[in-house]
Order: sequence, then structure tokens, then C-alpha cells
Amino acid sequence: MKIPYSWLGEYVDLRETAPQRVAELLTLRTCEVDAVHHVGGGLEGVKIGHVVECGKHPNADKLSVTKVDVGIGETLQIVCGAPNVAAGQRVAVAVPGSKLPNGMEIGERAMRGVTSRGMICSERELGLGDEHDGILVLESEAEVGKPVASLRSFEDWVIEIDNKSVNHRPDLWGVYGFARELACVLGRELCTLPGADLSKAPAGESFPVVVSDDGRCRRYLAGVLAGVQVGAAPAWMRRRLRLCGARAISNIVDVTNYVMFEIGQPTHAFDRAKLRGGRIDVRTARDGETLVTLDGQTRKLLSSDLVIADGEGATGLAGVMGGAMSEVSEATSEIVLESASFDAATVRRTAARLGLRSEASARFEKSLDPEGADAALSRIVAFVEQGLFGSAARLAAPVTMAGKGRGIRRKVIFTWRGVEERLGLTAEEGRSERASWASILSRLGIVLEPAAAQSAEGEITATIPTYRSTKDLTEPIDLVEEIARLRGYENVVPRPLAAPVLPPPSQGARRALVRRVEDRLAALGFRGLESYSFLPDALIEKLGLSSRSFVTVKNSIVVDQSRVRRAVLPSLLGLVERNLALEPDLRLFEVGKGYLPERPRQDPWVGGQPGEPLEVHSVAGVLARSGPQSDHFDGAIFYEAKGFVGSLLDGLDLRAEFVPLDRLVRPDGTFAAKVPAYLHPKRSMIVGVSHKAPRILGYFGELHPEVAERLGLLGISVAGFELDLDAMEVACGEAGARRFTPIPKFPGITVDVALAAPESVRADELEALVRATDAKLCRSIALFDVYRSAELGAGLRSVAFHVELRSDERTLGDADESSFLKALAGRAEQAGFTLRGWSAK
Amino acid sequence: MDIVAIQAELNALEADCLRELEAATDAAQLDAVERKYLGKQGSIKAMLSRLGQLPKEQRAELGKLLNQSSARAEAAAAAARDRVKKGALAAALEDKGFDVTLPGRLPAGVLRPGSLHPLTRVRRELEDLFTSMGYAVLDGPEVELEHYNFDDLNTPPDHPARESQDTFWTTTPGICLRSHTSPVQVRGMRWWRKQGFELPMRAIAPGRVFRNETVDASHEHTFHQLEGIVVGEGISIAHLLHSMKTLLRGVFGRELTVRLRPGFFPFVEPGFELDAQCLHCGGKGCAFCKHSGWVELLPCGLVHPHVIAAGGFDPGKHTGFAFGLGLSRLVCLRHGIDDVRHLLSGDVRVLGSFV
Ligand SMILES: [Zn+2]
Repeated sequence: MKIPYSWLGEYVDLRETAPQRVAELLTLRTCEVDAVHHVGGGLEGVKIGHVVECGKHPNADKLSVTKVDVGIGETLQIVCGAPNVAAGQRVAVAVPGSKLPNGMEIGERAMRGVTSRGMICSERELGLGDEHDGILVLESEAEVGKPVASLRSFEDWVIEIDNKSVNHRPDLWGVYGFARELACVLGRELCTLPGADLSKAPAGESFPVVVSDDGRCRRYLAGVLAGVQVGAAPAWMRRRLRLCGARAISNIVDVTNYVMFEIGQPTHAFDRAKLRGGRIDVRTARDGETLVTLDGQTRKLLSSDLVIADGEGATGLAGVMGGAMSEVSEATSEIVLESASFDAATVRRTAARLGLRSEASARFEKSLDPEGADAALSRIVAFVEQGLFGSAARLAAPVTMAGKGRGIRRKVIFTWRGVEERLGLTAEEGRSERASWASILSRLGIVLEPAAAQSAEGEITATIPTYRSTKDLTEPIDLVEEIARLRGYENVVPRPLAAPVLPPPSQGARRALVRRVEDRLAALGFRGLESYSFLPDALIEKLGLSSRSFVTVKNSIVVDQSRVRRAVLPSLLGLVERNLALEPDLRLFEVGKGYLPERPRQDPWVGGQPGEPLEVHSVAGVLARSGPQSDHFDGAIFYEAKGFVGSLLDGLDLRAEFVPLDRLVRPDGTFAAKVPAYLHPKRSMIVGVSHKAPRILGYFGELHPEVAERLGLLGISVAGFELDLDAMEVACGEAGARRFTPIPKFPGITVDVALAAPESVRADELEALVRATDAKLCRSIALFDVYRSAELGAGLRSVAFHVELRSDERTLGDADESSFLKALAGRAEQAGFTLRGWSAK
Repeated sequence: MDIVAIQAELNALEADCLRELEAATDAAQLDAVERKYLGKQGSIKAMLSRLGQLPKEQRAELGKLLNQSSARAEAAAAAARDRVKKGALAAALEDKGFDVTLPGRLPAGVLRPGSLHPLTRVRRELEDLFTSMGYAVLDGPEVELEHYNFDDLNTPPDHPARESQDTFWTTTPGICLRSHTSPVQVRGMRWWRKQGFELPMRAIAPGRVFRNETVDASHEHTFHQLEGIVVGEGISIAHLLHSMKTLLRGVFGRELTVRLRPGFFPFVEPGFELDAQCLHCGGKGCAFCKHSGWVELLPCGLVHPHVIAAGGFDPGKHTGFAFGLGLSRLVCLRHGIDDVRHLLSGDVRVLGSFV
């Protein structure tokens, strides 16, 4: 919202208060000021001139040669290229020797052989706006020879208010509201708003108005203005409208806009002749009813809309936009002026649905004071009486006043003690300030009862003025704010918070877990990142997730910000391709959230509807490597992922268990756990732990080759993992603190064994076989070699382990080693394998 | 053999030994010389075996000579050892043109270290700061009920503030992506009461929030905030101001000059914007502060009685304050990141700057 400084100055004395100071005071006491712009400054050398003569240039068709009186005794001959220059006009003349705001220096020069002394200026040349199609024509009564800056509202400062910061203040949607605010802040008098006495209208028949929907239209005034001459509004008024960001259109529209910018109350003018049936009904729209609005669009209406109807149908959308049918035109001579109070929510909904946000609807949806309708109409009639609608225009009959509502004066009950407590003052400190607080409230138009309120210890009744009663000041805390801000927030003395010395309530398990995870992964060479919660549609497609359901945003302004991820790993997979070029050995992780829409939570506090979707909190990682490397054998990345996941869990004091997918088949053939479709079905595993109970934490695996192809990653080693933090937190609780392993009393011996077995037999089966040979003596088994050869035979491989044998009772010797090997050889043979490099002694 | 001949032989051996000791330049040579003359099999020691060849009365004399001779040789050996050691130390310290400017390197087998995201670092720092002041750290859902995002925060349907926050609405009625971390205020209060914790309640809730708006260098559709709330009895604006100053001292490591001015948020009353004197120009005015001398840092205010009630506390008895810290903005400020979109880009060039 743009507030011209000169306009404020008409209602509160600002001669001692510069525009910057006004902006600062508003910022500190009322609302946010975005900027202060100086308009029409630096025009000392630009004078009001009178075009005495205007003729064609002898050598150029598009130029005119003028003689302009600028009050210096002689006329200036000025060559002008504007098409709209004409004799008799008052114009802005930059005299020779002056300088314009854009830096242009004005002198005397020849233009196509004709001497030109000075320049007749356009809006743009004066720094007033963008208009450059013609020269600026000034009001005809402007005094020749005076600086243009002396004209009303020519030089001004525009104070730009952040609209969001006054959303809660319906009284601040016009200049007058800000003047009232400043009067209060500065402790100065507020001048009364000029207005005609509506009761003095000539006798006659009022315009017939029925308010059928009196719930949504509380007050409706209609004034008939006869003898109207449609023309232009005065130049000063047009200048102010331009400062407010509005275009000048006609005297009728401009005056209604001017009053809206001044008071905050929108009004609307109908051409009386076009109101069919000569009456108005303010009613609920009928479903399917249509209306052509002023912008020429045909609008389909719903019963939630409020319309202004004439004898035959809707002719305006209440508070939003007028109808084309009853629009004022140049031929209009009689208008019906509407000044009304419409329901804020209705206006907001209709404007939002039809995409018709206007200056009027923006104001109505703030819950305007119904009394504003009277003030606006009386202000407009005052302008009519000044002849702005033509010299013959007049109020033709008593104003119709329909609707059941007037402005309300709300009562709020509060105590001084309550104010003191919120300000952080003791009763004693407060007592000395009460008189000044009472004066602040009274400057705001708030009446206190009892009359000697400042000495009251008990409840005080505050009666709020109508313009702040609609929604703004309703509770004691609202009065605290008024006192606090006008008392000055710089006067708040900080006081330390007093609280018992207690540790914060324990909620830290998850936070601690997340930190350990992050630190461990960073130590393992992973880069932590935060990615978007949205998954682009193309990525969903490539990952083969199109059939999954996603939390879906319906109003996103960007297509790719519509679907919310179910897990974190997909986001990371989407980042591999473009990062791999920058870092050929890529390791990334993210701790983040995914959402499962098919599993809504039940919220105990919000009844009757499902709660938010189930939130999955997880850690995901991705590792990828491009280019050949020495240890880059097929599947190397899988084992690295397995190694990293194992090390991660080890860092959390969890013993990772890796389960092949085919071991999770239930008797009915279904899987007890699955990995996502974007992972390789044969090169993925479920990650679990079983400290107290078996728990699945998540999965890891190589990227599915088809997905890799679609992601442009074919031939590149990519693997990923995702582990659920909820499950990890439970598992960590079950695992408890890591137990100390006592230092062995007796030394152990290490035996290396190699078993030859068919390829189909997995290493962990062979390991289990070794362990089962003597579970008591076997302390650790570590695989160190896998070997294939012609000598072994096709389809066979040899798997070698370091086996540590140790007893708690004695030192083991050669005899123990050979009996272990003998037993192992027997078991191997039984299973159809061979213990290599061993023969029974 | 007579003693004179043996003695002459001994003298010659000793002289040879001393000369060779003198000539030795390192420990290995010294070892060899010592072995040759003074070891168990060494030639000087070997002379002992010659004692038997002498008459009994001369044995003692020769024994004495032998001892003296080997003592002199051993002393010379010790001196030579000392000389060699000093020489070696001097040599080790000699300037051999060792180039200290060659790059450092990690031994093979050491992993390239990873990194933590700058948001993680700043969030941790703030969590630690607040827990040290007795605040709990809470979490709330990012896909949130409209009810918590608006209704419970004194923003009923048709409230203009719903309009001004460009909320992402999901296809499920009543569910949106949270537009601020403030829903955790009400969720947190209910949790606190249910757990029966003591007042004043002190909690923060860091997390990501979403706005359906056009992105540019300073606006993202997804960014991070840190909500804070304190609820108890007799909490005032004076407490809020003190707590905010303490918080900023913790974050910036120094006392900032601040000011409170009116700010409007439906869920606080009164609501404030807390500005700090510009961190770049100290208040003189620069491009960073748009020549105002002030930077908007913390929206805050006293918790609205309706929100206190929604949280299950008694608005007649309990009051509190709440604040919101722009985590993403703080991260950019702290690390000199010129484009907020870098934060969630997942670009390793950004992540790599924070090893
Ligand atoms: Zn600055």
C-alpha cells in the first residue's frame, strides 16, 4: 500500500516531521514500512508555463513551434515534439539553464533551424512516471511562473507499507487510518474527515433497496446523484491516485478510488438508467447464475456468492467487481452510488475462486467497519458539492439506508495488573505508568470505565471504537499490545527467565542416534546432504515407482514439486549422475523423512478425519564409482556397501545381520521383507539385528540394471542402502551398552582351513559348518580367500577361513588342532564338500 | 716367548685398535673394530691365552698390562662411539635441501573423509546451545494437518494469513506441507502436559518447511526453520527480550544491538520483529541491510491465549513466548553462501566445501 506523505499531512500536522521520520515512527510503533520514495523532486528549474501560441514547424511535420509564457515578461519560443501540445494549455517548462532529475541540462538550441529555448516536459522527463507519449498538461488554474513543485501533491514522498503487516488492522487500509495512527503516536490532533451532511439531502423518493441476505450485507447505502457530467478528475487528484498506484479513468471512478484510498471504504457507481426495474436487491447468487463483470468476462456464480441484483438479475458481485451491464459511461447522467458493508469471508472466497483480487476485495476481506459506508458516501457527496461530478451534479433524494447492522463498539474487560505482568513490570513500576497508559488508550479512541480508571485496582471496561471492533481489539492481550507498542518497545527492560535447574526432558535418544549415524558415515567418507522432499515425476518413472502412491500436492506452481517421497534413497539416486562427473568416487548420505499416504496416523486431538500420513525417518546412502579401478571387479560395489553398512551399525554398537532375500520366503511363497524395485533382485540384502528380538532395519543392494540404464548409469557401479531410524533406535535400546570382552587367560591358536564346495553353496553356509565343528572353541572365523581353478574342477570353488580356536581352561596344542581338523573334515565330507590340504593322520 | 715380546705385540695391537677406532665413521664400523680387538674372541682379549706361556711370576705383570691396555682401548672405543653419535646427529640436522613445501598426503588405505552438511552443523550448534539452557528439542511432521498448521495457531478458515502463506495443499483434504515449524508449538505443549513435566516449558523444534512460491537466490520452496517456545506463569515481554538477546549472543558470539518492533503473526500477541544492527556495516547502512542499518533476524511474540488454550494450558494462568529462527538464512549468513538454493542442491561442490 502506498501512502502519500502530503495526504497524511492534510489530517495531522507533519510540518515538523519529515517523511523519513514518519516511516521510522510507523516502523517502530505500527507496521513495516518497505520504502519511502521521493517523487517530483529536483524540479526547481521547472516552471508552470502557459502555451500562448502553437504552430507547425516549418521544416518538420511532427514538431510544433510554441510561444510559452513562464512569467518572465517575455515568452519563450520552444520547439515541441509532443502530439498533444496545444495553445491555452498550462504546461511544465524546463527553462534554459535548468537541469532535470534524469541529468539532462536544458539550454538554448536550434531544432531543424528553429531556435528552441527550454523544454515542455512529459511525466517521464519529470521523473513522475513512465508516461512519455505526450507532454504533461497541468490544471488550468495553475499560476504561471511558479515552480511546478508548488502545485498540490506534485512533489511528494510515497510511504510504502508492507500489506502483510496490516492484514490484522482493517482501520489501516486507507490514508486516514494512518493519519489517525500518527496523531496517536505523535500526540497531535487529528483533523476531522470532510464530509457532506447526508441528512440535508433534498426531499424526494429514495432509491429502492432490499437487502435479502442481511447476514452477509450488514449495511447498504445508496445515494442518487443527478446531473452528473462524466469527465476528468482534477489534476491534483489524478496525481495522488498515480502515487497510490492507480490509473486515472474518469471523475466518477477516480473520486470513488480516491475515497477508497483515503478512508479504506470501497464504493461503486451504477448507471441508474441501466438498473433494470429501478431497484436493487442484495442477495445470495443462484447456482448457475451468470454475470458479465466489468472486465468483460462472463462469470458463473455459486450460492456462496453475494450479488447486487436489479429487477432482472445480478448486476454486480458484492465487494468484488461491478457488472458490465450497469457500468457508468460517458453518456451517464444519473448514478446510484453504493457504499456498503459486505461479509469479509464471502468477498474473500468469491474473489479467490474467480481470481478477481481487487483493491476493493482486498479491503472488504479485512472486515471493514460498517460505519465506513456512511463516511465514504458523505465524503463523495462533499466532492460532488465541490463540482467534481460537473457543476449541475447533486444528491437528488434522501440516501437509502438499508441493512440491519451498524458499527459495533466492543467491550473488553482488563486489569492494570494484567498489563504490568505482560510488560514484565512490578505493580509498583506499573502504578507510576498507569496514567500514561490510560492516555494512550484514550488517544486510540478507547473509553475506559470507571472514569478514573488509572487508579482502579479491579476490572476495567474498555469500549473500543467501531473501526477497531470488527476483529482487531477483542481481548485483554490486544490492549496490552496497544499500550506496549505506543509506550515504545525500546522501553522494555530485559529480564532473565527464572526456571528450576532441571535437565531438559529426555527426548534426546533420536537426536543422539542421528548424530552417531552422521558422524560415523562422515568418518567413512560419506558426504551428508539435505535434498528436496519432492520427487520429480521423471525420476519416479525411471526408478519404476509409478505404481506407488505418494502424498501429492495439488496446487504446486511447479510440476516437479508435486509428489512427496516415500523414502530417502530415491532422492539420492537422482543425484548420482550429475555428481559423478565431479567426484568419480561418490559417497552420499542423508538423514531425512518420507511419507506413506496409505497409512494415516490417527490423531487423538483432531477427531473425525484421518491424521497425517505415516512418517518414515531414515538414513540412506549411495555409493557410486565410475571408470576402471584395480579392485573394480563385478559386484565390488555390493560388497563395499555391505562393508559400509556393517561398519555403520558397528559404530552404533549393533551387530548387523545380512539376510539374502530368498531366505525370507514365507511358507505361502510371499516374502517376509522386500527391497524396493530399483534395487537389483539378486544383489540386495535385508539388514537386521537380533539383540533381544529379530528386527529388520532396512536393506542395501546394487542398483537394478534397468533403472541404471534409465538413469544414464549403465556400466557404472552404484549401490545404496536405507535404514529405518525408528527400528534402529529400538535396536540400540535392546543392544544396550557394549560389553567388555575379558582379556583371554590362555593364548589361542589360528588354523587356516579351505573348503572346496559347489558354487551354489554360500560362504555363510560353509562358515556355519566350520563353527558347528566346535562351537565352544571357535572364537572367530574370518573369510580370507575365494579360489577357483581347473584343478578344483568346474562348478567348484574353494573358500578359505582363518579360524581362531581358544579355550578358557587351558592352552591349546597341536593335538587340539588336529582333532578340530579331523572333525571338520568329517563334517565336510558328510555335506559333500572337501577340506583341502588335509589328510587324516 | 718372553714378556717383552708379548708386551711389544700387545702394544702393536693396541695401537692398531686405537687407529682403527679413530678411522671408524659409523656405528657398524665401530662394532666391527670392537669385535676384532675387544670381543670375547678379540685379539687383545686373546692375549690372555698367552699367559700360560709365561713363568708364573710374570703372569701377574702381563695380566696387569693386558687390563690396562684393554681399559685404554675400551675408553677410546667409548669416545669414538660418542664422536660417531654426535656426527650422526649433526648429519641428521644438516640441510639436505629437504622440501617442506611438497603437498601432504595420507597413507594408502586411509579413506577420504566425508562431511556434514552445513545445515547439520548449525542445527547441532543451536541444539547444544538450547539444551544447555534447559530447552528440550522436539520434532514434528513435515506433512501436517491443516488443523495444526493453521486452526490451532489462531488462524481460522478465511483468515487472511492463510492466503499470505503460500501453502502446498495435498490431494487429501485437511493435509498440507507445513508452511512453518509453528505447529510444533501446540503439539509440543500437549506432549509436555501429557508427560507432566515441570513449567516453564522450554522447547525448540528445528525442521524443514515448505512454501509454494517462485524460487530465486534468496527464496526456496523448501527451507529450514527453528521454532522456540516457552510457556509458564508470569512470562512477559521482558523475558522474551532477555531470552532473545541471550540466544543471539550464543549464535553470534557477541552482544548485538537489537530492537523490537511490531510484527503481525496470528499466533502471537503482541507480535514482534526483532532486528539486529546490521552485522556488516554496524548500523551505518549498506547493501546487505538495504541501507536501513537493521537486519530482520527473529520474528517473535507472546503466545496468543488461543494457542495456549489449544495446547491444553490455561490461558488465564499460563503465558509464554515463541520465536522463529530462519535456519537456512543463518547458515547462508554464517558460511557466506550467496544463493539459498545451494543448500538443498545436493551438489558435491557445495558439500565438498564443508569437509
Ligand atoms: Zn548494513
